[in-house]
Amino acid sequence: MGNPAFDILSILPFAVACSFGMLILLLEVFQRQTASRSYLAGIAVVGFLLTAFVSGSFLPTGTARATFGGMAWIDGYTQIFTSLFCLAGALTAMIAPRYLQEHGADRGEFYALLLFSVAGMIMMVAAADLVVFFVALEIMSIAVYALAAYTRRSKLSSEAGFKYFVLGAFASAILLYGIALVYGATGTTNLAAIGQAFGGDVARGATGDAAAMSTLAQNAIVAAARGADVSVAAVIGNTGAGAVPLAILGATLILIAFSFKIAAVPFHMWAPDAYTGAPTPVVGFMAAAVKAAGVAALFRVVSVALFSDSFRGGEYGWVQIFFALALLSMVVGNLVALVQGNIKRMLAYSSVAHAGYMLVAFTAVGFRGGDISMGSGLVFYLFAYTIATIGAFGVLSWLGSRGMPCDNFEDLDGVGYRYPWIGLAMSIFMLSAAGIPPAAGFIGKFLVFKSAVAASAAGGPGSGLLIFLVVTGILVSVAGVYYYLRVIVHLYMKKATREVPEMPYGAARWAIVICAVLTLALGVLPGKLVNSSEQAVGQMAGRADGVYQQSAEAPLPTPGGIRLIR
Amino acid sequence: MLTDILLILLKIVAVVLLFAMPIGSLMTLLGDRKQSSMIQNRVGPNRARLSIIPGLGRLPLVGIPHFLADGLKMIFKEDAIPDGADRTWHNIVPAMALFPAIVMWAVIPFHDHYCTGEIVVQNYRDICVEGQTRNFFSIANLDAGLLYVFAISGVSVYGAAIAGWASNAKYSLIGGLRSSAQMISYEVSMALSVAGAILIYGTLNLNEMVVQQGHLIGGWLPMWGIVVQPLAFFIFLGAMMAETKRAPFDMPEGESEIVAGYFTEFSSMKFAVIQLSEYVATVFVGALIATIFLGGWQVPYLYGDGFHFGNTPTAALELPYWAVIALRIGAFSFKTIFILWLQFMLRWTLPRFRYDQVMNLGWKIFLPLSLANLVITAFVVAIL
Amino acid sequence: MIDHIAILIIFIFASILGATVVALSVFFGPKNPNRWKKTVYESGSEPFGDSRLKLDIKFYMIAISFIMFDVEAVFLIPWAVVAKKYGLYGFAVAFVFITILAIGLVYEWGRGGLEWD
Repeated sequence: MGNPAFDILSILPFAVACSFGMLILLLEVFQRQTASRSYLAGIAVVGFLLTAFVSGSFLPTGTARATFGGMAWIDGYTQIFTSLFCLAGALTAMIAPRYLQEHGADRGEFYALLLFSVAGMIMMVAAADLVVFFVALEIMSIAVYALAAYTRRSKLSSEAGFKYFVLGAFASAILLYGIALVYGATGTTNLAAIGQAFGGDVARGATGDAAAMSTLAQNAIVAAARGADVSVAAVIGNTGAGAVPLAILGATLILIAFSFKIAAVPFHMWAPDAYTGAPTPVVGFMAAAVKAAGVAALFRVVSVALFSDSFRGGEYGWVQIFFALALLSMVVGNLVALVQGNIKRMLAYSSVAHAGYMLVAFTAVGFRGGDISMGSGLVFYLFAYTIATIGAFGVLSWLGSRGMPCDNFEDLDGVGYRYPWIGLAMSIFMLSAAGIPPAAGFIGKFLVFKSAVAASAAGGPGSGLLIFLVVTGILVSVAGVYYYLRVIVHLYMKKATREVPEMPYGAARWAIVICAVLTLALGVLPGKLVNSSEQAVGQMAGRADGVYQQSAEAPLPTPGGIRLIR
Repeated sequence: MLTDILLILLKIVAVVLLFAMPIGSLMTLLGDRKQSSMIQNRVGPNRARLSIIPGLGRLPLVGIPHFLADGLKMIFKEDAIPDGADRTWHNIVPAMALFPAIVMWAVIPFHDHYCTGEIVVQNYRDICVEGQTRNFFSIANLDAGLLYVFAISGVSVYGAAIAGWASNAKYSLIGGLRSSAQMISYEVSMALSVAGAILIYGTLNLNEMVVQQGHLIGGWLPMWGIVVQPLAFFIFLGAMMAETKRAPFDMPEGESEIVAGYFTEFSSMKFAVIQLSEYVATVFVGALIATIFLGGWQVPYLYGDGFHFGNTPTAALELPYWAVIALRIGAFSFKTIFILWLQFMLRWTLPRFRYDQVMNLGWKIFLPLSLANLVITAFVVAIL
Repeated sequence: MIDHIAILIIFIFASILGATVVALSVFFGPKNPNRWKKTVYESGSEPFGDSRLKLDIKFYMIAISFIMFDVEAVFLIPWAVVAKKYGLYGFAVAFVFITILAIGLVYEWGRGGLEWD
């Protein structure tokens, strides 16, 4: 800590993304109104690639470090997600110009907002402190609100932006309130310190003061030994037993806010309308990158701040919350998607269902037999999901033109013969989303369900429920195959009805091809990404490290399921 | 404790009723009427007489009786509130306008803290030895003095905005809108331009700022704000004039367009109070600019025990402490009145701006200039 | 402490002064309103329409810009107080901050957000 050179180096990816955003704003202002803005998309792509490059090469890999006095963590987890967000941003920037020109919204701010929101995502995943986290979340969200309402002459787009904004602001308020309560209960906003405080406080509530005092003393010693700020440990020692309900309420509010952001049932109401109305490339970005950022940050928060044993399982555990959210999201998302006639709406509900699958991984991690490294399946899942989703929305935005949007299933009729490559790519995306073998989605689903099964195999109360969750997930994803295949049916088994006007800017097609190739490649050769996701989760700084590996050997838990040594 | 509170009351009465209000009210006469009449080659007010006082019955007294007559007249006028107006706010607003104009005076230092012991001059500072320092010459010696001024001047937007809204009249509403937009526009450049001065002094305490301005650069040039921050001085002067809505920034009450702006529908003492608060605020601008940029109560080369030429421990010309205090308070009043005079000269020699010109000046000239000023100052301070 | 009490006292003093002066005309002024006194002044013609006019969008633009740059000032003034202590590093950090906001200003200017007509 306290090394300015490393501090500067560590926010370099963030700074590069922001600088390119500002550069694009300035270029946009100082050029003729009538000139084409497509070259700005090229600059944005360069910016994204440079961001990913800086993140991957200028920072030491394999080491996890806290920067700015413990406000952010630069570790493998941050780096892998930086590359994912940059990939998503670059693909969106390649897809967008054609759509924006068609819809008379060819202005450079689009790319600037894209870069700003990616910068926010990077900081959000790196955040080691709830305040940094909140600021980063707002940087991301506000940019995306504006993007959702980007084609401002369209009523639907304005409606989408407005709904997204109102519910997003609502979620932010809930999050902030949750942060405030957690701060009130623990006296700190630092994630790791909260993790320690939660362990100690719940122990105090359950086992009485003597045991709790020893826990707190131990925590303080351990914290000091780890090089953490000793005053944090002292603060933890000062929190009262009355802090337990506050902490639980605060943590619950934080989880609810996240559920809004990742559109998990029952907090998914905004998603269908926002996805239907917003400009199609933006929907791809929203559904993929924003959701991935939310899930990734939630995973960091959960495994650092809320991972204490009694806090995730047991009486107050959040694992029940995740269980319910996952179950509801999978079932509702898949079943409602079955009856949609609008593809964007169908994909919206499908993204709700995907949120459910991701939450299965959380449930597995939070389960008594689970452990943080089981989250590596989640990282792979996010990659597969992000690439396929952006590709699918990319196809829709490529096919649509002004006055002739590609919204309904009928609009895809015959596209498979008229544009064979696009049809093939769309089929690959749908197969990936449905989780059918050659595509990446299958591996993702497999890893997530595998982690759940592994967690339940470790035993403990409720392992049957976990198996139930997995079986339900598999069943509803089989049901989901129906609506994904329906797209393919329309692509290949109906008569062609539409012509896509040629546009001079062909990068959109390249983006779709890249998505399709990546989806197939990750599906056929998943090894490398699986390895690096495991590495990333293993390197996640500040995680309640080794709690489970240690506890497997140590003669714990104590009565009441409370672990005293961390 | 009780003596402290009595002292505070005494200081408030002295500052507000004996300094701010008289100068503010006299300005209505000498500045607004007599000076303008001189500039416009007219006679100006000369009819009212103080016939109650024997011996003065026949003298015009450069029109001073006029102002007393005006004040008396206002008390006996009818208070008309238009139909549809919000009566509560209509009644409260004049007091709301007066409140910030008076309260702002709390942090203005009229002199350094009074020293009960002996004064030794060291490095251009008065050091009080073998005695206590007593705060006799400012109502409150706040460490966040300048922030307090900004906070209160932010509150003064409400008076105009609510006055415009409460009257239920179109001219008033437009005037209120214009004044709030204008005031918030110039507040930005005001705060940013003075940030350069804060950077140099390294404090927000106004008295400490003035103490630091006693420094002599190279042993002869007083380190007043205007010397080290000339650009900030002009921006700040302009922004403060716009804040007080005085001509040439008097768009919110432009007579030829919207009658009297936000106080069109106010009569009798309410009207008088709003006018008075504007004048008091104008005097305050003078006092604040004198404090930050013109050395406040500093007289060049004059320190606690007399005149020093250069960084010498002994005075070249010794003066008793009371004479020093009198000279310094006199200097402060003179500087304040000088800025006032400057404002009035500007008022009567410049044509009124158009509203878009006012906004352009604030956002496109003052704001970038004050940012540039801040950056350059910060760079110079950083490398020195 | 005594300085803050002084602030409180001058607050009370100013409120009482304002209330008293406004009350003067209530006690001494005549009260004989009629219809014409109670109508608002619109250059002599009968008032028409609703007095609560719709506000021009430009005022909102000004308000938003004000929020942005006033918050900038809020951050810069504390920095300015201690800037001497931090030397070139502190200057560099503040310079980045000012540059970002200056770019915001340039953008708003170029986009016509500061144009009054």
